[in-house]
Amino acid sequence: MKLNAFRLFLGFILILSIYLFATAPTPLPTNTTNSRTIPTNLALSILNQENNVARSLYTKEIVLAGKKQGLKFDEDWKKNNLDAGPLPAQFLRETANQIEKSPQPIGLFLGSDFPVNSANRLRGKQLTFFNALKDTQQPQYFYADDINRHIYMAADIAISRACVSCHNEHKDSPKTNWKLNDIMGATTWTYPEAKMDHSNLIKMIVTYRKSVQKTYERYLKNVSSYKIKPEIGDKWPRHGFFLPSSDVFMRRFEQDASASTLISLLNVNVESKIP
Amino acid sequence: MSLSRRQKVAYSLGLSLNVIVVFILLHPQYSSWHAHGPIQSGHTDIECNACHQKSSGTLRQQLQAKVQFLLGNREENVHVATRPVSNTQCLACHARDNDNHPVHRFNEPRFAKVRTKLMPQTCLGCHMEHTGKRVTQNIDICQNCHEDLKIKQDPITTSHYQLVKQQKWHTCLGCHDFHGNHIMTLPDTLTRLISKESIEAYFSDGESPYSQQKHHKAKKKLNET
Repeated sequence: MKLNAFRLFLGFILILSIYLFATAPTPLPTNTTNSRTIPTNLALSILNQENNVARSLYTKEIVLAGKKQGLKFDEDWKKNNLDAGPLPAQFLRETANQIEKSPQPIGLFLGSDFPVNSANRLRGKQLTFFNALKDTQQPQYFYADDINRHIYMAADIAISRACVSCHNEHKDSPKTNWKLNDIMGATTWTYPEAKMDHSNLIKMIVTYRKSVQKTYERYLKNVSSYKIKPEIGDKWPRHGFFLPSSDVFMRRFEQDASASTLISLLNVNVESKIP
Repeated sequence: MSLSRRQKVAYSLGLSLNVIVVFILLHPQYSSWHAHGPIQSGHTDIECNACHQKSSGTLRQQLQAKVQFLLGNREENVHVATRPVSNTQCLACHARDNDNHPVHRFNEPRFAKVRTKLMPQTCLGCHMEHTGKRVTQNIDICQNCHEDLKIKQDPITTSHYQLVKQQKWHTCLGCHDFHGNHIMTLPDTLTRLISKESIEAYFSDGESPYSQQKHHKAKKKLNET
């Protein structure tokens, strides 16, 4: 048997080329999109707007009004036998946990320069931008290259006297002279791309709302094991020893949040994707 | 180039043996033969493909996409054969609602320094598999984030502040389990502390020194509800 090594080599290259190029099967899809895009800082500011509405509703209508009716709220609300609901910070953290379970690559965090729990103290670049946020009273946007995330930071403001008194009176609070409307910390959002598909933003809003709903439902699930249970239905704590059902809570949240979200979406300066 | 009869037999035999070895190695029953180290005891019943999941597309599509990426004609790289193991695979069995240190929290920008050191944003940062160990970090891991810990109304006899000041970082895990999954009452004195040796043995895949009662039990199989 006589074999020409050069011909053998050429044959091998030909077969390899056909395998890799010539009769190509359907190429694997990429994540790139041809639809119109929106800058991430703008998209995250819309999500933050939604978050402000949810927190305000929960703080004022559930925590503040609930306390007056005898409902308890505690940072260790998940522990058995406490018969307590999440404080606003824990409500946000639980919402962030729920977002994390979704396929949307959004991150949501809460931190401060004077946190009740020292593990939540802002450091490094995040602290630098938080100081800029306090100085300018404007949200901050930057890129964290070690995690390849675009970061949006917005102020957490003491929106009610309950925020102020709770933080001033907490046994572990490092600062005890908070005042109404102080910037107590920052809500930090993260996202991996500098811009996003318009439809992706809608998915993110839906994800955020579902996460709020799941968090509130988690609270109601805890309530069902309380020794003395408030009545769950159409009424709110401001009417007595009641809690709104998940549907009622979400309807009110959507009512409060949707107008401003829709206006923001309509006003968005949509960029066309460069062909 | 002409081959003698003896050479032809030798080549045929070699080729056949190679094919047999490849078939054996590809068989799931023998997959542990080409694992790059011993798996920790809790994972011995798990099949390789539960964590090492197939990349999307056929091998040919993957190779073509790889070539296009290397030629600069494609923006995204692809993984050939299997995808890298990520948090998704770990959390499919281990996710729970009340984790004291969920990995995603370490994706916050302020953890940049600790990320370079420990990679706590990934499960594998502390639980590198195929090492034969349960935990692949040191017992004093807590010092990376809790150095400025101060508790005003400290419930323990020797304060947390004192323990931090004296750099007794091994004591943290003597009272608290990292993920808070064990149902137990926290001790209020150091005399009831779990010893450093017991925790290190646990890290090396030994018996758990913590309570046997858990908030969450890991799934045995991915499709378990």
